[in-house]
Amino acid sequence: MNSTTLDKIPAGGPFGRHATAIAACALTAAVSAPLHAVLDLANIVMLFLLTVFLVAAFLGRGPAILAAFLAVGLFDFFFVPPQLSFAVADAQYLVTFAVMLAVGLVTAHLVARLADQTREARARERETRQLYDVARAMAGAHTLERVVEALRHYLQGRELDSNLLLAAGDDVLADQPGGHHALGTLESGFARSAFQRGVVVETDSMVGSGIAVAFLPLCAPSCVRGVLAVTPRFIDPQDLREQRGALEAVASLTALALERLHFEQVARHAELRIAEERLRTSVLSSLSHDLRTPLTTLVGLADTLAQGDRPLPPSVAETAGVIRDQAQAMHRLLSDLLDMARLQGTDTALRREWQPLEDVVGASLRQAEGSAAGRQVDVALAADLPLLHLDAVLMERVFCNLLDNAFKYSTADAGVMLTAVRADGEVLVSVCNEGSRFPPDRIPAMFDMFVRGREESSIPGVGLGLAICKAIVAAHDGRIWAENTERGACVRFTLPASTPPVVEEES
Amino acid sequence: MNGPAPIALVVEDEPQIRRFVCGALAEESCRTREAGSVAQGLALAAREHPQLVILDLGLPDRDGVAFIRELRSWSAVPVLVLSARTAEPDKIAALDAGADDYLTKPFGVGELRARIRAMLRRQQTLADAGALHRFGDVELDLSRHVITRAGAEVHLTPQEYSLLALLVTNPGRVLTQGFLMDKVWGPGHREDNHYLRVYMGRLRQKLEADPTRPRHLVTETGVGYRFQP
Repeated sequence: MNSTTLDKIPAGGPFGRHATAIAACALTAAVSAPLHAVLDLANIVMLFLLTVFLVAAFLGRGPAILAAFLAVGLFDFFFVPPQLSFAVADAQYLVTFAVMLAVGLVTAHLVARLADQTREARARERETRQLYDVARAMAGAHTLERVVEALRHYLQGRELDSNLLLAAGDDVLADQPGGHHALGTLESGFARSAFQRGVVVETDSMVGSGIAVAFLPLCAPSCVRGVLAVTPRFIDPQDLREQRGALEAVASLTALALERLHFEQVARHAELRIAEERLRTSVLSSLSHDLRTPLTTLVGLADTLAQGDRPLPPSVAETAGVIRDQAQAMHRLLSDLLDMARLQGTDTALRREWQPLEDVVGASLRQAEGSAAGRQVDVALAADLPLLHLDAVLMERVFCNLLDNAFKYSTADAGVMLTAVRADGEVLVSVCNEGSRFPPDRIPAMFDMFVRGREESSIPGVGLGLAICKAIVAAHDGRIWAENTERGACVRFTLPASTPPVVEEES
Repeated sequence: MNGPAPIALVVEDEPQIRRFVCGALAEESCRTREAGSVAQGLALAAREHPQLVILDLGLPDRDGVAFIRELRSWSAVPVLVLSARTAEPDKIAALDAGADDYLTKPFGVGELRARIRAMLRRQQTLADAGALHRFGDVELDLSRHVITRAGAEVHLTPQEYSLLALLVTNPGRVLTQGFLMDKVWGPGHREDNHYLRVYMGRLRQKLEADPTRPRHLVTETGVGYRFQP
């Protein structure tokens, strides 16, 4: 037991204190004896009561009760006639004895209770101060190590050793370094139980066996952050029970400190990510501007030559046309690369709006006219398609890339089909071409970056088109895949058909 | 075109782009004026009273949108904006500030010349058309609120009608979603622009030969719609 409960009580144990009480009474009797001649008996009673009072104040309840009885006995034996006998000549002294005893006992009780309360108040104050100190240490802690240190320091002051187990993923508790001892299977089991159920697990009967006996969950507002396993150095289970409140308080302080550290870390990461994303966006946009400007010049000037009203020699006009087409191809490549870089950003901001698929398809067909070279696309959109929540600009890119591929990889007379049907809470879109198929062994990797259907093909491209489609469709929570059909090749993708907003009809 | 050759102002900081844009304008028999910054462009516009402005959005001194706002406070001259593909918000800002059309970089000279012709012709076409507008096999009489397709009358709801009238009276101009929502459904409905898309789909069903390949009611993806006469 530490000094808390022995506050103000002299050392020496209960026997010493009782002996002191006896000695005090004997001393009172000895001092009063010579005064017997000059003092009235009533005043001698007062001296004995004073002794009882002092014993109660300084030695506690037990010695005070003993002193009360002793005082009555000694008074009777030495002072009440007949002296040196317990016999009482005058019956009225019985009243004196009764009052003396009653006053002595009540005094003993009151004074002792007051002393107890003072002691308790001091103990509570010390406990509060310790908790306050640990709370302050934890509030200022910016690392896990500091929190653990503050916790250990506090517990050691209370004759307790500890292991701090922190949640690391689902159902996994990691013992922090510097724990008291390596926890055994049984202890780990208790710890897990406390963690999972979020309640204190205590095994009083094992106090003093050197293993952890109390397991306190660290319950923070958002989740249970770990378990505090406590191994007492003392052997009395009652002592542990008395510390239960303080232990729970320090466990919740620790939990809050851990939670704060966690969110600090989250905030730091978010800040870092935002800065990264800002840098990425600004690099991409300046790169995009700096590369696009010369390409615009190249396309424009070559086109001026090729299409000018003044006739050019045929070979010069052809050269100008080739320069323009190559510059445009280069621009497509650049757009693909920049788009891919943008789509790989941690969170691509989609500008999603509710719209009919027909709108996007119509715009895409117009866009694709450039690469279609007069080829027609058979479009079949089911009549019951719902409004879809799309980023139209990105979705147009998907359609254009798929149509472009269908044109590029099939012969000029092969048909190209674009269909969309509703199926199981989704919309299934297919872009197919007749004739040429995908090489079956390449299908699985086709949507990876820089992978092309055919190696070393004379068909222009670097293999980013489908990767971009995949990234865009995935950002819309859809799936995309390729397959060969009886008639040719298809790329299909799905878009989730969630509940669109209502369109109220005009009255 | 009768009268003196129209003046076109090109505001673009890249001299080589300016060069071929001016070349295309000259082919369309325009007299050209060139500026490399917003300040210079505004000064030239005030002095020369151009009939057409071609404006790059990324200028060194100020934002191109600021140019349009300032210009619009005292001039209704048609403005064609040059911008990059991925910059839809910039295009919308420019159009909402009062630009008429945009071209995405890089662009071919053929396309540029077609836009220049359309913009120069627009004022004339509008004045000539009066209340009667024709596109495809559709005829729209704004004075009588009557629409016929291949001679047969087509019934439109009041909002379909006002949407169509708005588009038809701005031929070739890109009208942003926000602008159309404000005009047809009133301000405060900008978030409900699926209405616009649904109504546009209905107009196409009623008026376009092939609604999946609209020829006249054209989508400018991510920006708005354009009526192509």
